[in-house]
Amino acid sequence: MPLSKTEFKFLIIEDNLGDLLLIEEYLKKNISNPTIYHASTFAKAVEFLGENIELDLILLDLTLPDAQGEQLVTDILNFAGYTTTIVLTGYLDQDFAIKTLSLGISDYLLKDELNASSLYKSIVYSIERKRSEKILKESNQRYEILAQATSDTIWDWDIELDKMQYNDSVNRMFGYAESAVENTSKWWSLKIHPQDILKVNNELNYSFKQQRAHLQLEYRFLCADNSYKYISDRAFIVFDNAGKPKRIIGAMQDISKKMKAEEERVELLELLQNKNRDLQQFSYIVSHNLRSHIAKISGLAFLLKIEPDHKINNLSLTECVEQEITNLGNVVNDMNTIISFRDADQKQKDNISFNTELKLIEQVLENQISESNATITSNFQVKYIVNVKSYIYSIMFNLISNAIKYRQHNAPLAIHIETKQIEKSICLSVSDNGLGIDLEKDGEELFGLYKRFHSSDIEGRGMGLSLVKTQTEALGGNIEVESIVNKGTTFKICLPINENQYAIDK
Amino acid sequence: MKINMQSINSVFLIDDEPMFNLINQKILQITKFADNVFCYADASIALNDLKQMIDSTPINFPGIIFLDINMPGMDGWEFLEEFNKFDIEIKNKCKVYMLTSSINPVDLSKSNNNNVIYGFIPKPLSIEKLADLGTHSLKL
Repeated sequence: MPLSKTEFKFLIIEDNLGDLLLIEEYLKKNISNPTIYHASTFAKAVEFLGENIELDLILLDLTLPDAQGEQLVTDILNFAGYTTTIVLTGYLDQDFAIKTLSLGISDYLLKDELNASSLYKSIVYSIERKRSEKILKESNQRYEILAQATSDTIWDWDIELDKMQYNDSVNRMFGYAESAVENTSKWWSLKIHPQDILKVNNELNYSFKQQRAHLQLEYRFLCADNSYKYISDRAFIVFDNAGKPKRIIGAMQDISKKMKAEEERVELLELLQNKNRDLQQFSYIVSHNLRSHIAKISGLAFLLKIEPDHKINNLSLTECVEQEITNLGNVVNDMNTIISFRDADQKQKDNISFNTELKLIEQVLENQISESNATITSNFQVKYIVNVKSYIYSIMFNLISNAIKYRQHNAPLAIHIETKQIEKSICLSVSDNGLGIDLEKDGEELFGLYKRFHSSDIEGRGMGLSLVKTQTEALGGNIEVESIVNKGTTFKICLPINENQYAIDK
Repeated sequence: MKINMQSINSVFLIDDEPMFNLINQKILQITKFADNVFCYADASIALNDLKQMIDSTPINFPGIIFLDINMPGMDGWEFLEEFNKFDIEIKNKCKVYMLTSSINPVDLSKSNNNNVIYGFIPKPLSIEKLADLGTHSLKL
C-alpha cells in the first residue's frame, strides 16, 4: 500500500547517532524526500513538539538519557496528540510492548529486526490505522455528546452478545435508579406494555428479514412508578455482510404529552358535539313548549273576540288566558332550572346521609304516601355520599314521587331504595311495583324534557326524569332503567366516588 | 267516492291537551266547518271509534282528522301507522292534517314523507288557516 501523500514529516527521537543514521537511510529508501527532524533527548523532543509543526510520524527510542520506559511513552504521547507514534527499541519486552500499544503507541519495533521494508510497512499501516481510529474516535465522541445532549433515551443493543446500553436519560425519563437498569434486551422487552410487545417484536423481525436499517416503533414503556409512558422509538439496525442484524441503536422519545393531548382533544370534541346536540334538542323542546302555550293564548284571544262569555271547564276565557300565561312563565323557569343544573363542578359538595334525605322526602310527600298506602323500604349499604346535596335530594325525590304517581291501583304500592358500592361508583336504586314503562317503545324518549308516557289524567309536566338525568350526568354519573309494564320499574343511578368520600368512610 | 268538503259531515280533533281541543272545537263550530266535531285526548280511543264507524255507521267517518303529533301513549305517528292499515277507499274519504307546535325538522321531514298527511298546520286553528284549506264557506 503506497502512501498517498507526497511530503512526509518525521520526528526521530533517538540519542544513538548510529541508530539515527540507519533509520534515516531506511526511511529514504521507500519514501521520496522525507523531512526528518531529530531530537536526541526527551527535553529537546518536548521543545520541538511545542512548536506545533505538523508531523506525520514520531519514531521513539525507549531509552533516552533524560527519560525512559513507560513514563517516557506517556509523556511523549501527551505532547504528540493524534500524531502516529512508533516505538523503536533494542530490547524485546513482550508485556511492556503490549502495554505501550494500549497507551496509544501504534507499533513496537525491535531495532535488531528492523529493515527498510519492515519499517515502511509499519509506517504505512500505522498511519492508516491511526487515521481510521481518529475518525472512529471523533464519531464516537459526537455520539457521546449527542447522547448526553438529547433528552431522548438512547439505547445500543449488541445483538450477538445481547448487551444493551443506555444513556442517562433512561433514568430521568422513566425514573429508574442506575442499578435498576439491566443491560440485556430482556429487561427492555419486559418493560414494554404487554399489549404492545407483539407489535414491537413483529416489526423488529420484519425489519431483520427485510434487512431494513431504519425502523420506527411506537409503544408504551413501564416507568419505575408502574405507570406507562408513550414512546416513539427511532432505531437504526446494523447488518453484517451476511445480512444478519448485529446491532441496533435507538432513540426513545417520550410522546406521552402529545398522546394525552390528542386523547383529550378527541374527548373534548365528543363532549362538545354531545353538548351541542343536547342544546339543539333542548331548543326544539323549549320552543315547542313555548309555542304550545302561545298557540293556546292566541286561540283563547280569538274566542274572546267572538264569544267573550264562553266558558272552558268552568273557567272564563280571561281566567284561561291567565292560566296559560302562568304556564308560559313556568316553561321559562323550567328552562332556567334545566340549564342551571347542567354544570355541577362549581357546586359545594357536602356529606349527605341517604337516610336523612329519605326521611325528609317522606315528610314532604306525606299526603301522597298515605293516600297511595305506599310502603317504602330501604337498604343503604353505603350510608353517606359526598356530593351536591340539592342534586341528590332532587334525584331521590323525583324517583320516589314518580313511583307514587305511576302506581298500580289494584295492588298496594311498594317502593324499595338501595345504595351500594360497585367498583368506583356509589349506586342508588329505586324500585317500585307500579305501572312500568314500555321501554321498547318509549325507552329512547324516556328522559326527554316534557315527555309523558302515561295517560293525561295523572298530573305531571314531563320534567322529573329529564331533571334526574340532567343532574346525574352533571355529577358525572349515569342512569339506567329496567322496567316491565304492569310489574314495576327500577332506576339505577351510579355516581363516581368523590375524592373526599374515603375520609368519611374511615 | 269523492268527498265534497263543503258538506263535511264530521271532523276528528285528536290532541292530548283538552284546552286545544276545546279551542279548536269552538273555532270549527263558529266557522260551521263541519256538522259534527269529535274530540279525543287519547289517539287510541279515536282509532277504536274509527274502526267501529267503519263497521256500524260509515256515514259518520270523518272527512278530516286534525292530529297532534306529541302525545303520551299513542302519539301522532303511531296513530298514522294504524290508520294506514285501513282500506284505500276508506282512507280516500279522509284527509289527515297534522296539528303541531313543533319546529323540530325531524317532525317536518317525517310528515313530508308520509302520503296520508295532507298538510301541516301550526296550532291553533284559525279562520284563516281553515280558509287556506279552501274547502268551506264561512258563515259567521
